[in-house]
Amino acid sequence: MGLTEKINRTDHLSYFEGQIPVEYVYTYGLGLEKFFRAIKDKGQFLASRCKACGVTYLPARSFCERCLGGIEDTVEVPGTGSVYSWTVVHLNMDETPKEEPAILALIDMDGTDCRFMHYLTGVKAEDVKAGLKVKPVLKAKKDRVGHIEDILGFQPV
Amino acid sequence: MMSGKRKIGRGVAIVGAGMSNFGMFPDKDSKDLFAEAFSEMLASVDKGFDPADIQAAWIGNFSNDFFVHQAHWGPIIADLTGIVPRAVTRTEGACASSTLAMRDGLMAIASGMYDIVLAGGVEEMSKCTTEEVTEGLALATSPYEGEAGYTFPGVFGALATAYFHKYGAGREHLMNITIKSHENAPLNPKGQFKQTIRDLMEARKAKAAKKGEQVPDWADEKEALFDPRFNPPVAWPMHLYDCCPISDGASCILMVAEELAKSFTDNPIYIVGFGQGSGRGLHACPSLTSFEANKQAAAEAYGMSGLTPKDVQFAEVHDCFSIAELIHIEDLGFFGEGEGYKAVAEGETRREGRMPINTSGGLKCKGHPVGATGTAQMYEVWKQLRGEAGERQIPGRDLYIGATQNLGGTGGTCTFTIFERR
Repeated sequence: MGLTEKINRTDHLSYFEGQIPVEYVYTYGLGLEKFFRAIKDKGQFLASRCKACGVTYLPARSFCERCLGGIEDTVEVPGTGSVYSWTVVHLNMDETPKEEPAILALIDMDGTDCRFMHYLTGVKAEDVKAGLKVKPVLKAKKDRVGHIEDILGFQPV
Repeated sequence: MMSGKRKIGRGVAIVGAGMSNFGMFPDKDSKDLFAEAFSEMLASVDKGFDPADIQAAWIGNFSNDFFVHQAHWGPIIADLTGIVPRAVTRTEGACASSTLAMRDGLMAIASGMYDIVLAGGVEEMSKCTTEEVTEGLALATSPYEGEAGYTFPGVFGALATAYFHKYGAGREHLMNITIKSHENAPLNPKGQFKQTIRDLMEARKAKAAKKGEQVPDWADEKEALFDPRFNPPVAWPMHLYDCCPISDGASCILMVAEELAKSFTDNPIYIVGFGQGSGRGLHACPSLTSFEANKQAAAEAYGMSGLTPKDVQFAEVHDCFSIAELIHIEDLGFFGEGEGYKAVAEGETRREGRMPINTSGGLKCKGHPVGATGTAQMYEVWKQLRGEAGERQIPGRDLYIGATQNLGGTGGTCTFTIFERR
């Protein structure tokens, strides 16, 4: 039995089928809203800097977990960074093989105290090393909708 | 085996409380809402304290998994509020989820395991359609009730019909509850609805006049509430104004061991009794005009505190539907069985009445972000007992005993908590 196969004995009277209609609306919240607007409209990476503790959060957020105060100030950061860790994904969600394996990286972002999670592009898996300097590749402005996939990935500088 | 009298092993006090605004907020997520509640809680601790002293937290959340497709809210709230890496646990008991968070905190302090804990709750519901929310809430009915068509308005409609039949009450008696809740609504700046029924009638008349339609000629609130154009049926006898709204919101309280309380504030509120019960599905419960779980919860809490219903001066009860408020005030012993609707008609549950109920406006007007409701009820009791409820402060009374009753599902979980100012 495959990992995603369901046990589905509809011939049993002890069983009935149900459906729950759900369409999700994902709300970014006050901080992420600013971040994705800047990506969409200006192609900028917007971080939040907490003046009280000097911590810079990327993506922008509205509340500082360290000093427990609201953060209003945003600051633009270059969007570049260096690879901290990565994995190479070979299977789709339904366990079919991917045509091309995808490299998913955790990137230490320049000018911030945070990492960013995204694809690495334009590099072979065997060539990825910790510390690899990368920069973001964005979709054309007309195609950007304010979503994480407005960023196509990060490629070596 | 005889079990001894239940007691709280070590005294527990509330020394801070906060809640976000309740309502429908398209731009805010659960983290934004909890940050609002948490910030107010921090500011409410009279002598101040270092949040790094919070040793553990419990967060009630019914079903953000369903409503916004995100589960595991414990660590999300821990991250937000700087509690990482200390323990945060999510509790789920349908609409009573955050009272269960408080209960876990109570047990943890009473047992000696922790001294300073946070309890709260959050729910984000308005991103779903009404159909989706109805389905999502129906996850908390007993198995087959929802499938048989008994989503929540239907369940409470059937309870109301049974109450009417047994005691000779009618819709006009439920309207007294709605009108009373809406009288308190404008006095609560954090509530979802801030209008009295009169305000809403005038707004409707003005709208009709502006559109050139016939202006309704209602003599009083009840005439408007009997008019299906103003108050359409949802699941008879539950009409629109018998039902609480769909809401987003968060709330939290800071709980500490009794011996530490005075280092946080000179005016702590002590938790002196707590009870929780469970109930059967509608098809199996012995009565539709009482919740078994309520009776169990009340008996436990009164026994633990040594108090009686007569000692409780005011309460917040779970008025998800108007009929629920009526059943609760009888189950908790504030009024005799079948007597509640008469007492409400005589104004006894109004702010200036003998036994004020839901001075916050209740779930009906304040809003009902389900996971946040339990600790938001406690926020109201905290405010009233400390004399900080502003315009909606119960007038002319020295308040020292208040209570909250929180219901989950179709009465599957009921809790009753008694608070004391000393």
